[in-house]
Amino acid sequence: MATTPLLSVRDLSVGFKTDDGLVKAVTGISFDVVPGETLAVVGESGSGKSVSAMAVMRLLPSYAQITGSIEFDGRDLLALSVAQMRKLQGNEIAMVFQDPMTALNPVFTIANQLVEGIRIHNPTVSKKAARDRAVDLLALVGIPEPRQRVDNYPHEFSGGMRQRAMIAMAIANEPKLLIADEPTTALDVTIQAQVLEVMKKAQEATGAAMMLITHDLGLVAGVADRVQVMYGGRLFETADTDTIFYRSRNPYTRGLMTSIPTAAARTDARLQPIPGAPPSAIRQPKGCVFRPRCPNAEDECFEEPDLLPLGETGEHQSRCHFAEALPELEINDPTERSA
Amino acid sequence: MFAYVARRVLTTIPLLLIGTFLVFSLTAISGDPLARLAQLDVDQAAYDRIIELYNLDQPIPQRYASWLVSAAQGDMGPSPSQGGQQTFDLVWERAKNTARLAVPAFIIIAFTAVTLGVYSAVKQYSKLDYFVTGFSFLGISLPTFVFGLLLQVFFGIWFFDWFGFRPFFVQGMRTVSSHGFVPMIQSHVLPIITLWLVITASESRFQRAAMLEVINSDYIRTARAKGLPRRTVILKHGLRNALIPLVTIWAIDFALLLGGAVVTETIFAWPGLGRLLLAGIFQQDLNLTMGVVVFIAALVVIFNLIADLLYGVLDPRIRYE
Repeated sequence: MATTPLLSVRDLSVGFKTDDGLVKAVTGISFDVVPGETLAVVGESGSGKSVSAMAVMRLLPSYAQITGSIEFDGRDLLALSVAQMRKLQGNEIAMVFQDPMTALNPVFTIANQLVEGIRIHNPTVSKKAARDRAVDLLALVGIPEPRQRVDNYPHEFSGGMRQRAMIAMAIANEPKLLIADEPTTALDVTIQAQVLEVMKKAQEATGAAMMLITHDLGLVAGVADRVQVMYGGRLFETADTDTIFYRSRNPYTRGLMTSIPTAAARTDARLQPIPGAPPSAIRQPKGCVFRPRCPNAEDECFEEPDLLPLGETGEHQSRCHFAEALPELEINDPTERSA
Repeated sequence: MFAYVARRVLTTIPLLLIGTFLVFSLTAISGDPLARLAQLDVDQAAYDRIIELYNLDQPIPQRYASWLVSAAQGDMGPSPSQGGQQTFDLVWERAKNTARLAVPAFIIIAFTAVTLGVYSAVKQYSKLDYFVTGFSFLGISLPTFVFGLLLQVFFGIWFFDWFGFRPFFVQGMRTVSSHGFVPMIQSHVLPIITLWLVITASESRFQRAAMLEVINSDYIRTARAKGLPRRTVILKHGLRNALIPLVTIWAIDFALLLGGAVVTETIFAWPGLGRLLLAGIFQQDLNLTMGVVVFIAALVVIFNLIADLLYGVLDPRIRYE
């Protein structure tokens, strides 16, 4: 990739010490986000996608054991002091969380929470100016009558409006990187598309790169430039969106694809879920972590495969001993999935 | 809002009626008010006069009804055990003495309980947290009379043995007008400390639990993700929410403090409401007992109402209709 990456994560591992042992939430992941692009991070619950995002935001609890490096815009985030990091949080890197019902403070108005975020990073901005900016932001994310609604409390907003307000809060300081942690998961299906539209619009308005964490493959197909698939705290496959959907070279990614319903599929065709459950983060299986659930598993799989580049450009990477040997994918277009 | 307050006040009336009737009946049947007269060897005429004066020949519901009628008109009747003084005056006088302990104790309690609770929640599992948690357990499990007596023994005897003087009075109330400023302070310290320990212990645990719940909530993570300083995150976003459940506990504790702490007042020979209630009960003084009970009940009702109204101020999600 020619462009200098905005975010460059190298060999990041995150562990949590518990009474039952060390929980390995993320094991040695490396990836880049270039300015302006949208990178989707996909995986089941517990695959480590949220934890890696929280590590980038430096929002993990102090007992988390983090190793590796996270370089953002030329600075090593893990080496920054708390005060230095605070200058970036909500300013150059901002985050939208999953559940808008609980992510806003119930006892302060939307205006208060927006203005607070603007003024903490721009102390010279007057309260009046910050308030005007808050109104403009609400208008941008599609809140009707923003001038009146800005003085509402979160409970006076619907779920979709709250998530719009969260997005407004996140883009308030025109971040270079927007991390969205399952931004539509907690919303009604009818609202999901609207909020996604708002996210795209917000991203265009600020020129931010976006790291979109989700398990909704339909969402990925709609907005992502590149996709990385995570499983058991590891990166399993990474490529541009089309490649992931149509030319995946990883049994886990393929498993994800066949477990979503599509509008095009025959109505009598059964969905094929991935059998079994994701591995325990404390006692992970020997060798490839996906081996116990993998339909293609062989004896070699007791040896953990590396994430290796495929093809000429090397932008498509897969963690599988049989990445090259897998049969061609039967096209199963998830963009046409029924709601 | 006004309609809400009016409705709340009206709904407490049946509650007060049931409560006072129960206390009245139980006090009336729990002993013979004429037993003391018998010891004095008085004639039949005196008996008859007392029976007549306090309606002792009538059934309890009827006696309650006549007590209620006068009480509703502001006449709580005379108190036979206190030389026939008006019950209302007695209760008011003692209530002021109780408030001398209750008000400063409450202010110190509220401040320390919040501080300790917030600190130990923010620094969960730190040494300070263990210390505060240990202190709470000690305060909750140590009975008031044990702690009060320990203070008396320490400052009244040991401290005197070591240093030859007593920094605080271990008995009785001194006022500025009766003894001057310094003795006033010296007499208030130990009973206030006693009240403080017991109530702070339980309140700081509540505050810790409330704060822990809040600081693990999503909106605190949002506040941190905005890059707000830790102080703003904890004091603005955290404490503001964690204070809401504490308000009810404050209201109840303050009402109880103002209603008189029976054990503490007894240990420190403090002429407050708690001891007055005790005197009323022990001496079969129905008017006096009822006077104190009605006062305490009114306090609880009023402070609960205040707590509910404060809820609405602290939490915009609550509306009064």
